[in-house]
Amino acid sequence: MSDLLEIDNLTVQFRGDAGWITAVDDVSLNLREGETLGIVGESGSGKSVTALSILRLHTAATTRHPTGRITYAGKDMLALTPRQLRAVRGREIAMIFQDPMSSLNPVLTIADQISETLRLHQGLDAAASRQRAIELLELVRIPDARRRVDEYPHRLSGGMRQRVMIAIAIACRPRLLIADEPTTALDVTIQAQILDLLRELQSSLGMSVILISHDMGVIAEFAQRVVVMYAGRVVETAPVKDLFRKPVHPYTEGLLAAIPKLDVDVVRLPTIRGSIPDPAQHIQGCRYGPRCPVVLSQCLVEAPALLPAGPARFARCPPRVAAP
Amino acid sequence: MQLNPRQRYRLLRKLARHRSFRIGFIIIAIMVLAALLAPIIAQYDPIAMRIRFRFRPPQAAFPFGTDQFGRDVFSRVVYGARLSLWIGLATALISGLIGAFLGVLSAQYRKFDALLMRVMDALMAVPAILLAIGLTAALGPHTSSVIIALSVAYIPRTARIVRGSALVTRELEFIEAARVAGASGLRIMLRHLLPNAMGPLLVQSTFVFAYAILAEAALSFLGVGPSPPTPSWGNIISEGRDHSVQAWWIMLFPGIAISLATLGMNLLGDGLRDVLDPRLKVET
Repeated sequence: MSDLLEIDNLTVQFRGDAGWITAVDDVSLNLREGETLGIVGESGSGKSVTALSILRLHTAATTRHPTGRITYAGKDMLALTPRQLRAVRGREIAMIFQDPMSSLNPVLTIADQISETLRLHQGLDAAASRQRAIELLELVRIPDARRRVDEYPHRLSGGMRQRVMIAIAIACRPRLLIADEPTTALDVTIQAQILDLLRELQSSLGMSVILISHDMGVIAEFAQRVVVMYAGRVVETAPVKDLFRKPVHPYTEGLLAAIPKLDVDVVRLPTIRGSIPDPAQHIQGCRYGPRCPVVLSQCLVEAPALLPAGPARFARCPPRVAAP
Repeated sequence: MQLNPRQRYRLLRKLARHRSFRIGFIIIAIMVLAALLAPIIAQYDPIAMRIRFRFRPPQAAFPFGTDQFGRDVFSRVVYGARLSLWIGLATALISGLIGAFLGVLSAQYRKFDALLMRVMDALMAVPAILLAIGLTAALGPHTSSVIIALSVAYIPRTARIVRGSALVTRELEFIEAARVAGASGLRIMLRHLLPNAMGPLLVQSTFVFAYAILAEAALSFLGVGPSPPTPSWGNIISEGRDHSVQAWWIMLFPGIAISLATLGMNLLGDGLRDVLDPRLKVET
């Protein structure tokens, strides 16, 4: 299978009060056609920043990419003109966001909002796009689509709105769907329904999906391959089963240990001590070093490289990789 | 604001229950009706002079009295409503349209913003009425120049209000979602930012309407308003000024009309603001 998306050594910097701040540092990842890639990490790890870079959604004036290439289906995304970029957005690559409550325009009907994409990219007229909007609502399992299509977002629940967002995203049958924390703002039962829906649509439409989440449970259920990010860097990447069976990087271990288990009574869940470092601050050696339970003196001196750690996996932890 | 019939009905019902909106609406509705039906309501030609009847105090035949040329003040006030309300409406519309466009433009294109808002600041630094006096003096005493001058004077405030609202809106996720869907800057501006600023814009426009009626009176009083003989509330007062001691009624009644119209528009605006601002809330 060929790579649909390839990110090579991407660095993203934002202009801060005291110079440029590195939010994503030398990140490489690839996505095959039809694959589901999970990107996991805590807040501030750079997972969303990476995803937004794919569609160049950062404000151009305050963002720069000192290194890196983003290649989507042979196109150099960082070199597209605004017009070319708009042709990719929504048609080839679609995105859904975390908060369905604010992702829909409160003053436009559902029909208007789904039609927008259809009319922009497929040139459908008002009647045809309305009809297509109803079909799409049915596809994402919104009951009574014919009536719902003329309603305004405030009449819909969070789960319903996220379904509408998904309908908008798949309207033009994109090849890549980026889902940035699509279930975080939803109830647990609704989460499962939305994930089921996404999975189903993925296989029926043959999309590739990038799923960004801080929830290991969501990743385990949905992704085929996982990229773990920490402080703007990839610390581990592995097929999902391998990652959960035997994490290599201590950070991944920490994340997995923090998942509550049903069969064990615990008073206190294990946590990772400390917090993610300030991106403006320079850290010598391994960025996870200050929080790592198995840190060695050498870790705090030399920045670790991402090394092969078994079939199709990499980890940024030389002590673990060298002596598995 | 685009609403479906049911929401529109709820909104209207809410407005109908709002006391100050109701009062304002009734005042303005009566005035607009009077202006439209002026030829039926007014018994006399507002322009024709009948020197025989000059300076008659209010009485059954002339409810508001007559002026120095024997013209019926009531008829002149009724006909004057046409011009005064038209100036208010046109100013509200023009400054609303241009102000709204400039407002969303500067919210969307930040480079443009710095330049545009400095120009607006400069305009706002000059009192609106002074600016309007200067502009009408330059353009000549026509109705259209009064409208243009007042529009220019009120554009900055409207632009500021729409810009403020659009700046809040543009940070919301649905704007990002629109960009993700491939919408251009222009499209985001007109289809997403502008409709979401409609509430404050509408409220502001009712206030501009009221200010414009007041400002027309001030301009007429200073001699740069719409020129006689066509009556406007402002120029009726202006013409009555020299005779205010012996014929107080010439200035009083158009003055009451101005106060009532301004009050009515303000009450209307307050009602709209309560119902629309800050977010359009139409509960199910």
